[in-house]
Amino acid sequence: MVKINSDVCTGCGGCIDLCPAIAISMVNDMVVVNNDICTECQICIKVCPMRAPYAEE
Amino acid sequence: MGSKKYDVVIVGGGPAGLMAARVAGENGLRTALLERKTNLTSARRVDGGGLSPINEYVCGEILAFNPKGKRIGFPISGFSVRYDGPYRDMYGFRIYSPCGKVITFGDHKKLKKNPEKNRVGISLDKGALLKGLLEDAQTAGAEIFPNTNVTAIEPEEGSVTVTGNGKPFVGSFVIAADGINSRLARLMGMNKDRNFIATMVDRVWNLEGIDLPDIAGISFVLTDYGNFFVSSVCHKNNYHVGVSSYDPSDDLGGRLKKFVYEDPVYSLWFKGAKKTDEHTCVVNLLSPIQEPFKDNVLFVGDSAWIMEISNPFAIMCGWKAANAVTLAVLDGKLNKEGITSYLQWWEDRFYGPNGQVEFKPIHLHDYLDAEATDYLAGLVKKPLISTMDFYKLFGTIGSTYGELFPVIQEERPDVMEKMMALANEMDEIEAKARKAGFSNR
Repeated sequence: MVKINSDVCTGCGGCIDLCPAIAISMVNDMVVVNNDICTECQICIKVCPMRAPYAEE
Repeated sequence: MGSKKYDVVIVGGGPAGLMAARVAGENGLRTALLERKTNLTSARRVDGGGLSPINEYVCGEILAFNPKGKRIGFPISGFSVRYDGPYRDMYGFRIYSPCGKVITFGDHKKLKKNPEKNRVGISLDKGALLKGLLEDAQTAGAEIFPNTNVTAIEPEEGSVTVTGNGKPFVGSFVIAADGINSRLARLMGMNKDRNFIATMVDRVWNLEGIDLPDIAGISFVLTDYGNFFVSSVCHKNNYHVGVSSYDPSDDLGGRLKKFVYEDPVYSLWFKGAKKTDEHTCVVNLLSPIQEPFKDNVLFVGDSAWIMEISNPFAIMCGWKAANAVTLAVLDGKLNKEGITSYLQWWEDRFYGPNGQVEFKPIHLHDYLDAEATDYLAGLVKKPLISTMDFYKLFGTIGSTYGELFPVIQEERPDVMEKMMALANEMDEIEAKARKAGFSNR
């Protein structure tokens, strides 16, 4: 499961644009991962300059 | 079922999308604009700090800035936009070497004596720019749908359906103004023929409470541990200090800390500064789209990455695309023939002049040591042309050092050898950047 640490997320949306599965969106100006669609490729984790997305069991 | 049909559905509420919505609304088109943010006027991503080509021609336009009347004019295109916010004059780029040698674009001290005549840009507040555009789009009758994520697009005969928050929005045309890594461009297969150059990542701090009189524009600082930039933003005593990389695994935060707090030369600039804000940016750099149209979808902005970071060019693209769609509707030609004015304009202004310029994802510090970089920067003694145009920046650097080759060969054959090696290794440099990145074409 991929989650976003909203304390450090700047809301730039880079992960939304690069997500191949279109699993990330912006809801009420917060970045949110839809884990029903997420394939756990972890690209969002690797590209985020703030390291805001993280994987959790 | 029963979904309202629009003449144009615009995806993305940045400068390009909002300008398109205003123009389409003013022209009487049934217009919808979908934006994923709730607050359209909050600028969250790193951008060019609002740089604008004033007193110089870029992509066939020159801007007229009227701070009293609170407007920015695009006299060649023939329109203006509202801007009610702070600004600071820009006089050009600067490039600093690790030990503090500097190449200047324009003699800023001299130029500052006559700002109206000599400034080549202004930094502005993107939020204030967006606010003016949003209000004018709403006044013109465009329906704005904030907090709306677009996840799918389906072209049909003579219309296009986009899915926003699970609901269909049907338009005769769609204007894809969804930024530099346009989801719609990807879903429509527009990226298949484009070269993937690199995944570029940026991290920027806003530092408050400092005064750097030499920096009136954007300065690039080359160190042996990263490429930094310092730009004079619109608020007095505020500067954006950022680091960029073509390898997302790099520790950008660590590099910024080192630069701002520990660098023996540059940390002096930031003494006593207060960090007030942080921005980031992640973009996949692709070569430009040659023909920004497919199945009644017009692409704006994403087509040329360098220009997309610049607000005026985004506004110009939105303006032209919406006018082209208006003509198509008035002419009853809901197809490619109807919007040819946009494609022709795109070719004349953007793709023709700059579309073939190849961008090289090089970190100089990977190939030249600090001493060699200092030597090279010290060779340029006089200010070069005052400009805020990235294409002119690259071109001027190329021609300046081209002329200096005999001097370098004579004085420092070892540096010349490294530069030649750099040119020969370009394929490997490009392959390395591609490998570090995450293409999602």
